[in-house]
Amino acid sequence: MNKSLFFIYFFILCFFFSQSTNSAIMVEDGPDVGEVAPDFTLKDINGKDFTLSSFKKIKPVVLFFGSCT
Amino acid sequence: MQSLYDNYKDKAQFFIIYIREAHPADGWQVPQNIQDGWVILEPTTWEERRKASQDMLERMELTIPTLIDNMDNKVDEVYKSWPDRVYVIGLDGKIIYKGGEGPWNFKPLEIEPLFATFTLVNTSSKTAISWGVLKR
Repeated sequence: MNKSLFFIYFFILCFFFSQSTNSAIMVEDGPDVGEVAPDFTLKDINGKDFTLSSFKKIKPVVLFFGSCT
Repeated sequence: MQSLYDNYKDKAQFFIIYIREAHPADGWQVPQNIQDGWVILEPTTWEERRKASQDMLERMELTIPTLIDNMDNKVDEVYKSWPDRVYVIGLDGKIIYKGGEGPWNFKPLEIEPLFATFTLVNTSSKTAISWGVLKR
C-alpha cells in the first residue's frame, strides 16, 4: 500500500468515527418519562423569578417550550 | 395550547418557556415566517428575548404564564427542547409526559387525556393533585 492510499483510508476512518460520535450526541434527547425533571429558576415576562420545584408539590406542571418563529 | 390552559388551568400549572428562536431572520429563516410576518432577529439580550415573547403572546392572544430562558440557553439544552417540545411533570417531580421534538412532533393536545386521570391528594397542609400515567 503506498503512502497516499494509506492516508485516504485513514481520513475515511476518521470521517466515520466523527459521524458515529455525532450520532451518539444527537441521541441525547432530554430527560425521559419517569426521570426527575431537572430543576430551574427562570424569570417571567415581568422579571419575577419562578422555580420549577416550588410548583410541582402543589399541581402537576405543564411546560410548553418554543418561540414565535 | 390556549384551549388546554383555559380548560385545565385549575388542574395544572402551565408555563410557556420561551427559548431561542427556531427560525430567526439572521439565521435559518423560512419563507412561511416571512409570509406570516414573523421576522425576528435572534435576540442577543434577555430583554430582547422577553420582548419577542411578549409580542408572541399578544399576536397569538395567549394568556399562559410565560418564562424566558436565559441567554446561556441552559434550560433549553437540558430539556433538549428546541425548536419546541411539551413536558408534563408530576407532583413527585418526575416527568409523566415527554412530547416529541417539534415542529412535526409538537402535539400539545396529546396531553389532554392526562387531565382525566387526576385525583385529589390530601397532604398535611394542602390539597394537591396527582395524575396517572398517560398511555401512549
